[in-house]
Amino acid sequence: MIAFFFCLAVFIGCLFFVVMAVLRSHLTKLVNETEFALVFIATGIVETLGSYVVGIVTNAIYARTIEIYPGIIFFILAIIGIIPLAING
Amino acid sequence: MFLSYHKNKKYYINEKKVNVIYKARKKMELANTSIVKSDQNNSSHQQRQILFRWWIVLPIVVVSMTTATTDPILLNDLMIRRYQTEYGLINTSSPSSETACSDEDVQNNSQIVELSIKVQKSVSRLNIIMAGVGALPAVLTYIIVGANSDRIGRKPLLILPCIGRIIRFSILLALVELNLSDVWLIISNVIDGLFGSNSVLLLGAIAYITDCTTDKERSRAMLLEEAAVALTRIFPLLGIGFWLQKHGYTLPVAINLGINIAALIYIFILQPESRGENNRKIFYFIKQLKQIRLSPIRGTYQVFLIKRPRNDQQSIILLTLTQIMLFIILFGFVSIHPLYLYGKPLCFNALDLAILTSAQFSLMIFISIILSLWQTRFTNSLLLPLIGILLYIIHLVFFGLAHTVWFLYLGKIKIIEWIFQ
Repeated sequence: MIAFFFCLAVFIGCLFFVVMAVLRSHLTKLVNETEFALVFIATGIVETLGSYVVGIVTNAIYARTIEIYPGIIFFILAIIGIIPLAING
Repeated sequence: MFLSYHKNKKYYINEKKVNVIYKARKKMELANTSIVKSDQNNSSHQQRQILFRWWIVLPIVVVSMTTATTDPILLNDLMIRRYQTEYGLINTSSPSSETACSDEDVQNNSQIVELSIKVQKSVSRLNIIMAGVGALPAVLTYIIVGANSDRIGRKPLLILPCIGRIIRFSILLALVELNLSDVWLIISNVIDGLFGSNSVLLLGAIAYITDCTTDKERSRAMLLEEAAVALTRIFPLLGIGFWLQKHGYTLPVAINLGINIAALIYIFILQPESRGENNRKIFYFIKQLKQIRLSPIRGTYQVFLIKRPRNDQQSIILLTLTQIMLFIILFGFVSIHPLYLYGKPLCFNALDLAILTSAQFSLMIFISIILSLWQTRFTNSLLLPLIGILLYIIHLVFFGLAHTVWFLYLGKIKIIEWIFQ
């Protein structure tokens, strides 16, 4: 049961990074040669800003909710995950 | 009046017809231009592919990601240890793994639990400050340098972050050795951001791979690049996990400094330029930087506004939105999960964390290689991302339940045994 649980968790995580590669590859096929870098900038801004701002927000939420229930932040992230799922769907 | 109305109506209908024909013709011209451009792109890609191999950039990606992967764990451990020492939870002479958290006898001691929460809160606050001051320079550099990437070439995007990292790790080395204040942690973060950090380097690397591959090869190249990135999340993580069990921070910081110096030398000497003149001289790099202008920034949003054949414009916007949301989730998870797992009652240490992450990425490499060899419609379809996102949501829910689900407490021990079996 435990092995199965972790096997599942590990499998899920690995697929996430494959998703990023496939999406990126799709994106480059839709633009011209001179737009390769430009099209990644929008995601890159979020990537750069995200590593800081999202870090601030998640740490702030975690610091506030640690005494109530520390796992709340993961549920919030899971809810946000529904948006790309809906877009992709 | 009726006649006039009728004439006007007729005129209006004719005008409408002309407009429709004009639009259709425009669309056809646009599609033809696009096909021509696509053909030109493919032929120039093929030419570039002969000159350069996309994998030449991989060592730089590996170095950058090694630094990016070990950096949060190293810093998290360092910050926790500094605050634990400050609050009297550990003795300064003890190794970092001997935290109050790992001692079962004190698990129920309310004072230690309280101090442990204080440590977590302090680290969390420092993380917020570091992220706050680092965000603005990082984003500005990313936008300015990234938007100019198609003009100045890919190499400046690889060189700048390496310089930033060299300065950052020099500061961190001084901080560890001389026990400097937290301000230096913040300064090192600002400098890293000013030089573009990991994001600018990855943008340069991805653009480089795109330059050197054809449409057919790209998915495979991107998957293998992700596999290389994943590789950096295994050995360096395990290495740092084992090292921090018994030793200090000087060696890991020095290694990070060393590999970034090596990467800088590699870029200058061996890395060819995939866009523009292939000049290896240092002054040429400075000359390229001088060519940076603010005007190309407009292109970063205009790329989404250009009308394209089929539903390409809509697809570009939706794919970008999907990626943005996924990055938000990923960064949220990455920034909080080490602290969460370190906390009570899970009480992970650097090694536990490294093993858990390594197991995840080992499987990712395996799957990436399989998918890159198995070039079918599945790897090029959007079904794979859909499944991946859905499963990742479930993964997050599991993490959220970790504090209450009893088998995760067992799992923490069992996973280590299971991996080594």
